[in-house]
Amino acid sequence: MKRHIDWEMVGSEDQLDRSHLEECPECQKKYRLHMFLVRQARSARPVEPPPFFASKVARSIQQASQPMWFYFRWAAARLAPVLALLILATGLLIINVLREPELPDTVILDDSAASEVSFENMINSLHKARSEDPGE
Amino acid sequence: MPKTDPELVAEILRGDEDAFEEIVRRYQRFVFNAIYHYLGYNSEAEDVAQEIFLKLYRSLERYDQSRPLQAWIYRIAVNHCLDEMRKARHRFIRLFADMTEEEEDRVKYLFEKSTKGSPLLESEEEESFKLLHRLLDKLSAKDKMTFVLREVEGRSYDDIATTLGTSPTAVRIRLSRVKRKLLKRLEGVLESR
Repeated sequence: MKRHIDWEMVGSEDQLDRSHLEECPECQKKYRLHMFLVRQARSARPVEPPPFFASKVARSIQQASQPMWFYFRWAAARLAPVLALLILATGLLIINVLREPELPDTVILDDSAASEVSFENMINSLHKARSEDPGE
Repeated sequence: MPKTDPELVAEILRGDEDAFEEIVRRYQRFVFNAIYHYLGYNSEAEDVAQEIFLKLYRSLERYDQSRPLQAWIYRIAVNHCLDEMRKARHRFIRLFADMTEEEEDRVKYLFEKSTKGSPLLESEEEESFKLLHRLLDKLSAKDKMTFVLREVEGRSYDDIATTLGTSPTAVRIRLSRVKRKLLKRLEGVLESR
């Protein structure tokens, strides 16, 4: 039977030795499987392309054939708002840092209060130091 | 009177992109059906078709206008789909997944119906082709393409050999081997559980 079911050969029943097929259950089974496979392969249905497909392709071809400067302009137009926001945020950050009040580096506590370090004394000393600061 | 393919190609080469839209309109059905045959029902069919037409556009300068344009498109489509199959295999898409129980039951049902000689409904034929692709998915790209070119599209051995860059004898041997593999797999599905 191998001679007959040389799987790339069988496409129709007339290529088979019918008498052998009728007698051999093993070959009958193989033949049925093969014919099912062939039928499956031939059951492909025609498919339709989606609407406007040709126009879509034409558009992508037009885009693909644009010169390089077109893409720079395209990218710049889209990046401009992001860049503006970044610049604005950086500017605000710098202004904020510059406006922060400067405190004197060291605060010398009153000699009289030195013996008694308390929160109240520290605040008083701070006020005193500020009022003496000529920059204020 | 509609323009011929060589006339349209000449216009495209002069920079007329509208002429290319006409070529796409003429061959889109052919390309979509080829994708369907080679890759099965595929949600990415539109993207694949678009890539094929972009390749065609870029390759038109090399196209020998004395030969039919359809043969050129066909070659591009086959090669592109072969690449897609290899990529899919690389990405392990579905390839190592066996059929689900539900799919196996459907194969059994369709096999029974088919062997009893009952004609399949249109929806069943569609389903049958889908299931065939589930069997084909585990084959190598070239094995799958050989089977599809011969059994689905009914191409000659010489034609397949030219398309795949091999000899007709090699095509016959490969096809025979592929069919044995498929039959074994099909038998496994039908005898499961």
